[in-house]
Amino acid sequence: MHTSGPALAQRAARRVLEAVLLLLAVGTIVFFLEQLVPGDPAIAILGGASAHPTPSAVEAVTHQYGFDRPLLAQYWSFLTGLLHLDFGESYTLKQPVLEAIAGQVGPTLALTFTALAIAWVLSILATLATAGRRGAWGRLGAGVEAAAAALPQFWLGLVLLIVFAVRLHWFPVIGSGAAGLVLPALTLGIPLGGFLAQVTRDEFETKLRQPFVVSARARGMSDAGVRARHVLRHAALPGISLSGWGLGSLVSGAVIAEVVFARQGIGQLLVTAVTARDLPLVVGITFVVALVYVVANLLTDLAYVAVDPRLRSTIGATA
Amino acid sequence: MRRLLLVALSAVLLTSCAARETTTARGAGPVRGGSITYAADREPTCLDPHNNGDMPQTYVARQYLDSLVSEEKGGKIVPWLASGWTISPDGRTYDFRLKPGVRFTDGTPLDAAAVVANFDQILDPKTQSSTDLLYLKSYYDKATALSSEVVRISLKRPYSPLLSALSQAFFGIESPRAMARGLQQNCESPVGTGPFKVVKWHHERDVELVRNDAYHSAPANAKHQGPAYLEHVTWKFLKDNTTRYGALASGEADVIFNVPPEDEQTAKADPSITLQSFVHSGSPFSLDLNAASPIFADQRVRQAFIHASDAKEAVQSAYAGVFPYEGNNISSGTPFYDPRYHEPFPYDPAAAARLLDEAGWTGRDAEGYRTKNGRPLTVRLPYKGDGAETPPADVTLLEDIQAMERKAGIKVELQALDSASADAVWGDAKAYELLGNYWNSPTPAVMYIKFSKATLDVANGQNTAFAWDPELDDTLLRAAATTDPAQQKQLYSSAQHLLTAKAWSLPLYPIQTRLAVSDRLHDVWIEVSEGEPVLSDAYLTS
Amino acid sequence: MSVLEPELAAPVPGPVRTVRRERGVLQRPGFWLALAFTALVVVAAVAPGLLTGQDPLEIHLAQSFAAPSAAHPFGTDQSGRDVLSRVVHGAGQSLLIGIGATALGLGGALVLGLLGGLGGRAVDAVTTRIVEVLYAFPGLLLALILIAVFGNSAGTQLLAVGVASVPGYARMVRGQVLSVRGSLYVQAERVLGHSPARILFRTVLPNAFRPLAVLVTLGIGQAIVWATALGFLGLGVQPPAPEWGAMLNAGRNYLQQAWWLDFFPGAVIVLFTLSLTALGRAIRTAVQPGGHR
Repeated sequence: MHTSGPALAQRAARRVLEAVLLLLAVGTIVFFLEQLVPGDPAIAILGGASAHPTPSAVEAVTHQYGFDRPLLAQYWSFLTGLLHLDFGESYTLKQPVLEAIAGQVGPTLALTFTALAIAWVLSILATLATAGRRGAWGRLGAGVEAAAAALPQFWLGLVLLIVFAVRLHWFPVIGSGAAGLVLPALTLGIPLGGFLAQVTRDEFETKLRQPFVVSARARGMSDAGVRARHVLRHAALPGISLSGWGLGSLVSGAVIAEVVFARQGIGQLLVTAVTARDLPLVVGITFVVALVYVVANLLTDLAYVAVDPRLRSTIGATA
Repeated sequence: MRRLLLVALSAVLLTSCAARETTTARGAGPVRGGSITYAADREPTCLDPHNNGDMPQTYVARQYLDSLVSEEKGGKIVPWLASGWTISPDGRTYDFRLKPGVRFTDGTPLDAAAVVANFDQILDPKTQSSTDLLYLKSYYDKATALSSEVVRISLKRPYSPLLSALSQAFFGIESPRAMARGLQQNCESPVGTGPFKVVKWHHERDVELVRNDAYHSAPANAKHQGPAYLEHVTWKFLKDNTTRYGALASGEADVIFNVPPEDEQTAKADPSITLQSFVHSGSPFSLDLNAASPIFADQRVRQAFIHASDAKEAVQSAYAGVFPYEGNNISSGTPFYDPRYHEPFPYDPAAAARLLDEAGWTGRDAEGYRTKNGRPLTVRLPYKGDGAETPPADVTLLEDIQAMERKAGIKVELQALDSASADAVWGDAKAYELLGNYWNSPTPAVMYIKFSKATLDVANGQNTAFAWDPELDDTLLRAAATTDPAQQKQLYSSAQHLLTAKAWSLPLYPIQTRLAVSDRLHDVWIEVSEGEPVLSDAYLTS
Repeated sequence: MSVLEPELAAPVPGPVRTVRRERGVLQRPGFWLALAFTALVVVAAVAPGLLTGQDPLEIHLAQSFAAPSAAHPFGTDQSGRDVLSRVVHGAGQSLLIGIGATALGLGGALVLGLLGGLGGRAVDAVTTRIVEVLYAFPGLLLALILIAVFGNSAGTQLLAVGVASVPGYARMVRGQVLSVRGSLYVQAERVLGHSPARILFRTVLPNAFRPLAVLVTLGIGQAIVWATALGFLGLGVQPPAPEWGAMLNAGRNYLQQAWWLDFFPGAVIVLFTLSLTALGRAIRTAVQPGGHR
């Protein structure tokens, strides 16, 4: 099963270009917004006005961080720093930003990937069970999906927490470990699952009317077999291509889930950094999220090629 | 096989009898070794408690620093790093004899020169000391090494609370070699003679502590001498109330600091948890009224503000009855506390209205707030928006007081700020009218620290009311100068009387150290100078 | 937050949706329910006194944490304040942020659209790429960056939500502008010799904006969800103002003993945004018969 080289390379190259553009755009915007912040960054680094730093200390920091250099020179070193993942030192943690992120990124990734898996399982089950069915059953499926997709994560999380942890005691209110992961992952997975299911359903219903389905049925294949073996494969394509984007949205949703469930992670770290106005940390986390988003998009592109028969040189898996 | 059977059998017995005996395991005596996790609410900004001087620093510092002396319940001072001391008849010279053969965990010997270096560091502006500085500034002259084992502290004027002050972990003695590395490095990993040593501070997460195997300088009031039982302590920061309590319930933490008041009942009912609490002496959590602001410069307006809030009711409601109300400027556990000033300005809206009318705040704006010459009666109350710094119950308390003042026509503007902005408010007389503050201290001399010209002159914002009074200063200095209890009682009482009349502060509740300890951990105790949790006597049972 | 609203958040490449046959809008009970609920929220925002007689700031310490009852249908909070009256009085603030942020987002998008439309090919290409790329980037993170830069206040909350929604609107404005610009009557105007600016302002923009009315309905709901999410994170409006997100944030601490503190405000937000979505879809069906997008 080898893929068509040139098409893939082209797509990958375009994605990488887009990724660099995204990172540069976010970086540029943040850099110039930072210049608008009232107050001297050197004083912020020295612990704020309350620390009463001496003028010589302020001067030293100003020089050390290069705040006295021309704006464009600062911008240039900021950009080159980003390329090395060097985001500087957190004002509040007095620790390199990358180190702080590395310490917290594990639980967040565990949460987002679990949530993505949940979203996929939910959307496939919903599609197989209800898509293309006539009458109430199909409408119910569509309605539940739409409602799930529209649920704000903060409220879903709170309701899950109240019902399953506080009232029923099925899951711990807080907990690392697998049991503690279930509710936060559902909080993120259910809305994404609803969205993916909507997309998959549309595609599924289109594909159900395709000739290859008719021929498979004519060959005596069962309804469940047709749905699971043939149609789903085609219908999953747009969903797969959305998963990269979905992962990006999950990482930002993790901010909410981590606060609701008081979990450790970069979302929690980000909220703390925003509250404390610790800009290097905010920039660093945003960047890492952007990176995750970019990498995920590249990967989904590859997965897309693997599943899409048209992009493969060996056609003929179906029909 | 036999063992398996035994386990099964005992399990049956346990469940059938529903036995919940947990103390029987203690018969075996302390066990050596093991790791525990202690979950704190707030993270210190520096592990060297000489710098700044906030509570989280002393709680953790108690685990790796020893002080010269220790305080017992009732105020008696007992030997620690100092095996004995003499005080000159004029109360101005203290000679401490140090325990022989003690070394810091970096190998440096503890001698008189090391102690001198500690006092020098505390007074060095570069250390940015706030708490220690204010305890010493008005009294301290110099420290000298009389011999390698005897250190002399000379004072400018007599200071009877000195030993109490020195018993706090704020005055923990650190290795001069470690201090010489500079403040920044010393903040990360200070070195003491204590039962544990700092391995690494993982910011935002924990401080890793490991046993000092050579420890033999426990205070005279410790439960045992020699090295700690526990081998390893993870001093974790879980600022979210729910998380911290949940960590104890799930077994992730063995001790948690500051049981959320909302969970007090659940914790009490849980047989696998024991609760310990200690009511701090010193100045209670109060809203200090900025007397340098145009609005609160008028004593009548200050009194009206205090009369208009039903502080007692608000504290009881917000803290679910767990925290007691305290209306005096010092808490009930402080030596020479005078109960006559427990509730000096009872809730009295009529009195508040009368005082405000007298002060000329007679107009009303569209929202019903009082005005004077067209200016609304608005007072700003900044606080840290971070839930660890201002727990939810405190926010509730502030909102309740805000609602009460609203009825009196006073508009309280709550300003939730990020930590840097909130810190910047301190010392800026134009930035606030009200500011929440407390000063845990083993001595009533804390009144001098909070409200004196000397503190105002240090200009580090610790005189939050920007207020002082010559008579009060004089009274408190005279109280510090005498060792006669009858005289002290009389002087400290009149200080409480003066402070109450000035209405510079709306006291609310005394700060507490509240620990919840898992039943597998024993002999955790709270010392009394600063309510510091002590883990050096603690041991695990499996 | 809820970057999952498909209408606004569909990324590149967008899902291909089939056309479903719709019943007439007016025959659907869902439409009427959505309209009624939206009307209720608008009344709450404009004249909260009509819906509740209770003062949202009035505390009754003796009645704190009262469970929902006839006297307090949504229960009371930690200070004994009536949660229903706080939800009702909070509607104004939330709606203000929703409308304000949407206006800001559309305004920003219009500026970018104009840049693209008037600035020539190079400018258009650059703005389009940046917008495309930022569009796919989680809006909540953009909003958080803005709050980190400008500090935390009700104003920055609105600003952050508004700016974070610019890429989404800009992308749609551009799409509309392109389709109108390519249309026959614009070509006709060119033939007539009208200036590009005149064509843009008199013909392209008015025609491009009509379909955006639908998106505004959807966008307000989305903006409210985002603003509430920020409030929930403790950013934005300060206590004790009864803003919905801030209420959720405060109630979170008391979940164990008073679930109603978070349940009801959250349910109102969900119902309101669902209603707005339903209304938006209904309007779209009415405006563009048989069509999506």
